[in-house]
Amino acid sequence: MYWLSKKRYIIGLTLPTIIIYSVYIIIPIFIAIYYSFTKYSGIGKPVFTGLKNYQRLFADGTFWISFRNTLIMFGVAFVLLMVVAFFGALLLNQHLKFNGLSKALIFSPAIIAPIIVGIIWVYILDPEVGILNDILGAIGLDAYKQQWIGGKSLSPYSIAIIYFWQQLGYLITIYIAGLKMIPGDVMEAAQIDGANERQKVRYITIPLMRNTISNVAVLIITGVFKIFEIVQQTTGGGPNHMSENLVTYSYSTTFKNGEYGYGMSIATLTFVVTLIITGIYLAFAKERRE
Amino acid sequence: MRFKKMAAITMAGIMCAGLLTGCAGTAGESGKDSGTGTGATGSGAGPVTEAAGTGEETTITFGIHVADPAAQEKVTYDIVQEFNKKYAGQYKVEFEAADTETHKTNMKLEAADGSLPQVFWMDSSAAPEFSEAGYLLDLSGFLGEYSSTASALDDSVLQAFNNGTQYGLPYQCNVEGFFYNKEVFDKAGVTYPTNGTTYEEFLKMVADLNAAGYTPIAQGSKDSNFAIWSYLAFLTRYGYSENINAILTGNMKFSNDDMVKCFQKLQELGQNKAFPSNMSTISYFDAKTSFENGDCALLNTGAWDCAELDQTMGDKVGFWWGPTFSDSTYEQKISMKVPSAPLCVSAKVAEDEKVKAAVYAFLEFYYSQEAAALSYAGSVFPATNYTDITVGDTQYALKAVMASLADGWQSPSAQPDQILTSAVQSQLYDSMLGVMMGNYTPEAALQKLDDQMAY
Repeated sequence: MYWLSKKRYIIGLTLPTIIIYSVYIIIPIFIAIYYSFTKYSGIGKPVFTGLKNYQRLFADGTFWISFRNTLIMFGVAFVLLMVVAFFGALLLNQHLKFNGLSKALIFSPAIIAPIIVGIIWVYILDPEVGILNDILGAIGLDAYKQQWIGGKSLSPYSIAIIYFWQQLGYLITIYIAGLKMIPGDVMEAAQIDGANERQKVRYITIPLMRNTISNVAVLIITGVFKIFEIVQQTTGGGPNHMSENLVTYSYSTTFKNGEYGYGMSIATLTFVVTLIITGIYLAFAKERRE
Repeated sequence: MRFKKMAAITMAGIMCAGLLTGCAGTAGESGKDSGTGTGATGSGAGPVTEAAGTGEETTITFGIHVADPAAQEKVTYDIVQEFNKKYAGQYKVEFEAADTETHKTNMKLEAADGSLPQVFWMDSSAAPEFSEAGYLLDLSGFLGEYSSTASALDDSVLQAFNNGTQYGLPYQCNVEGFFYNKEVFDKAGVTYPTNGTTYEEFLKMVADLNAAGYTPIAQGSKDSNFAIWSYLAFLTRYGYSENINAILTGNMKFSNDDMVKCFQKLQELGQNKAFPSNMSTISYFDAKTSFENGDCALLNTGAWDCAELDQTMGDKVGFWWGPTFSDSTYEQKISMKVPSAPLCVSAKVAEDEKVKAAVYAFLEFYYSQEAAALSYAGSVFPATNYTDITVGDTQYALKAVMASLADGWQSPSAQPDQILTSAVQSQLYDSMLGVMMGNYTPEAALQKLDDQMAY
């Protein structure tokens, strides 16, 4: 296979990907960034306005609400998914009874379309027709009934929980794949040396899984910043934009308000924020490795 | 190691980039859904299928704002079918169908790449921009050529879509107000509202209906922020029509005493539990269902729901223009019978005489007495002014609306929200619903409108 490593083959084989990636990813990014410096309604020609959209962004209360909501969704989903998916994978990697069935059940939400996930959870969380409040009422916990969605404060937390439920099985599968890569003889040696389960996880599994953990973290970060359908289906971003995240606010500004320029400035900022958070995480992970 | 690091950074960058590219759409990617399940065979935007010089039929495309015209815009669907039948072998109209939001986006994208349908529904707030950008045909030529059609459309109706050029013709006529369920009022022991019922009487009505266990007004806001039709008359009764030009030209603010009073009434209705407690998580369609099921006493909607209400409620339905306000100095006998969004014609139609003839033939048919009869049969008010059309005995809702129209209350020439730009229009919906749900004070809601005007 030596011949494939020749420069001309490398270029030839990667060129189609580079072209497609440039046309569908790179160029649209630059178009979006360009629009973010314009006033454009989607009709006629965009008018260059410099940094005006970005100045407006920082004075826009709704933008900050959507930014805060995105961070809440990120914080809740990141912590839950990183921890629960990891320990779920450790559990499901054991040879337990009904292991296969458990894996299938946990993975099943990942194959449901996000829009359907939203519909399912509306019937759980809606303050009037949802079963959660009904259950709380039935067991005498009326005081704990909440406006889980559609209220002024809890929607981003609820959306994070829905995202967690949807992604858990998928991330557990990735973790399990990582666990399978750990050489059995290392674990065996630790066993002989008298390491208990907790020590094996801490000193062998986690260090050997760092790459997998990093990949999962990046997947969660980029995934959370793309949550769209769940918000649209459960609350539509409402009431009064109170449950918008950056993506849905960018969408509603762009397509509902017809403010393409302003919408693209939100999208650009979302892109930058995601890059920063991913960069911080990767730098942190690299430091830990070294 | 260095390679791995680079690969990791590149992968992370790629995944992040996905965020941005999802928003930077290019033409044609936004889910055009041509003719889904309706017999509509829209083959996408633009190209007219015709066998030049062979005498075969010319096919034109009608871009419509619903995904399933046969079910969701039955009257228009029937008119198109009748046209296709009448002109079989000569002209044919096919739908390009998508839900409203997608349709509006599609039209913008198709305008940019020159593939607009020949005829299309457009939101009133965006149509003038299409016209100014040169995408629309000036229909004054059509009106000059087809004088009988021109005389079937009132001047005031035509003026709604004329900014120096006649960029559109009204799709239908919107008649908006409150439908009420007589059975619910009877059970609650509350007198039906009548045109002239005051706001104070209405508040008492709200309290009595609540006490009897009914939600007074069926109202949803999720994915339905446009569902504020009946409250547009509130705005008009507080001088919106008189002041909007001054507001739009920057000589006046939305935050004025009259609008504050108007928004205070919306706030008060919310505080008095006039709306469902889950208004924020239900849509207009859910609200309509709860009204039809007898859970709510009134429904804020328009005459487009008449056919459905006839089917689900029969003769239990009544219609009301909404309350009058004693603290306003403006005209209170305000109804809301206004031209709905315009039908526009692509400017490219002028480039081909055959296509132009097909489009003109379709418009002539669309505004004919025959089409008006189909409209009334489907309980929809056409934009035309034909009078000698009879309404069926079982069209209870339509008859209730017509009875209110017979009271002769005056109507603004255009629907108040339809004369605003898309962004200000969205903010108006957000502000009104925000006050109704208690999320904004009247002053904050109006300030948001002024802020949006400033951008």
